[in-house]
Amino acid sequence: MADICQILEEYVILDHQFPVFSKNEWVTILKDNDIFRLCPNRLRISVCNGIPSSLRGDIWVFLSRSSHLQASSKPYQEYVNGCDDCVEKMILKDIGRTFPHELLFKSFCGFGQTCMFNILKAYASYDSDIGYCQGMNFIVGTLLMYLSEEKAFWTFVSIMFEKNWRELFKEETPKLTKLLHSLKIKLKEKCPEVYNHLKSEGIEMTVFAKYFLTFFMCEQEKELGVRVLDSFLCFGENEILEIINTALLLERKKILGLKYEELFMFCAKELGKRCLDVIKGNIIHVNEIDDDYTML
Amino acid sequence: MATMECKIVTLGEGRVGKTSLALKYVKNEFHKDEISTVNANYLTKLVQIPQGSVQLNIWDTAGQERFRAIASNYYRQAKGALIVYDITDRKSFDKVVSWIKELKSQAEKNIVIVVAGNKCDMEKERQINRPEALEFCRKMQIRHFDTSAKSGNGVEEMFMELASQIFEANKGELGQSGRNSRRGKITVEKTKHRENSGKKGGCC
Repeated sequence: MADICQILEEYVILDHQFPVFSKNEWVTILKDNDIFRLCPNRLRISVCNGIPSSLRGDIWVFLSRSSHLQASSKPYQEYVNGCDDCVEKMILKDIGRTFPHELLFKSFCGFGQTCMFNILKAYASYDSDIGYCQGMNFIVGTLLMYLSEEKAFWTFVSIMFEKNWRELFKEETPKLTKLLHSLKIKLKEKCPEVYNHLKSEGIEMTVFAKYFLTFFMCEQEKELGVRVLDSFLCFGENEILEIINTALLLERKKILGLKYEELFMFCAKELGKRCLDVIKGNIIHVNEIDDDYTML
Repeated sequence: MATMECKIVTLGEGRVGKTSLALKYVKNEFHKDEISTVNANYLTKLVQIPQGSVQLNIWDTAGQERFRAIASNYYRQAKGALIVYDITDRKSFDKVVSWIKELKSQAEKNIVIVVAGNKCDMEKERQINRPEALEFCRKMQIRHFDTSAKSGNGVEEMFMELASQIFEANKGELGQSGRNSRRGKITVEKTKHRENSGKKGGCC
């Protein structure tokens, strides 16, 4: 019982002594450009409540501190031109298949597709050990919805290097394995019945892999990927683990009643909706959940 | 009637048309720019073959080399595998060889494999000679199909062949009810109608 409250507490914003940053305050914060001067509690609450969409791009640059990277590196264009032909072909295959329904990326070789192609090419030459890997296309696409091409590139580089996300896309995907393992441990500890049910139904943790590889950006709820990236840039990878874990916990009643195929589909598709609730702190029935929990 | 339920996986290089083939077959849909698969999709279809019926549970995996470790989770208990290459992309054909090797060493012993040379509507851009592909598959004792997820050519026939080979390979287990179908084993259960096959009456 204590456990469940503990987990939920992080997401239920009950404490109003830390007000959300207003848009004007965000503008000042961006001007100051000093993340360490912010009150961590206010930052958390502000991000959970959703940062102003019109400032989101700049806030991503601020949180990822990508402008420092940009200032100390070779010009972006040199990286765009330095991409290997073979990798370029690989990237090209995925361009038309990334957010094909979004206005920005709809038209063949249009503005959005060209920017995405350039950024992925530039990244592949910036980090030739990793090159290009599927999943990156969705992250870059989402960045482009809020940032100019060059800023999106450096923010992507920052995610990959500063946040060490490139380890996720390395040969043998070592970081992915690590994260999935942490998720498993966490789930086993916080919600053993869900863990046991997944295990007995033969559902591997890899079902959650794409959530890490794309920050939930392939999901139907378009807001989700953006909000996850907000949280990730602010609080790091643990946040994603917590989101998935809490969503699983909230849906455990449903999960326990599902069999293999349905369970797989649920974990791979429907869980996203619950994750959005978790991020937004829309967990209002805490007491109800606790009651259910005692009944189990 | 007895239904054999089995798991099959689609494998192959990225953007060869794995998702498109599965979608064409199960839902008769085709999208020119199918969104790229990061993890895996799952589709199911009941197929009528002369010997009985087979519920194909299709696990459609992501193609990129780096996700191989993930793909292996999907083929592990599969009864059948569909390896797809793009006839306009030589590299994708080379990958077929490594997939076959991997399946022969890692997958279940009696796994049924078929190979699809997809995008045969783009004959002009063909990079792999048809005789070469056929000869290769003949040596491997694997059926080869020319398919087009766009036009639908060869798609139905290929899945039917896969279903009936799987039925043949596993009919010994049919009747031993209570085995766990999820792990690729066989169960006998009432015929379920999810996505009914039947465009061709199923029996031809």
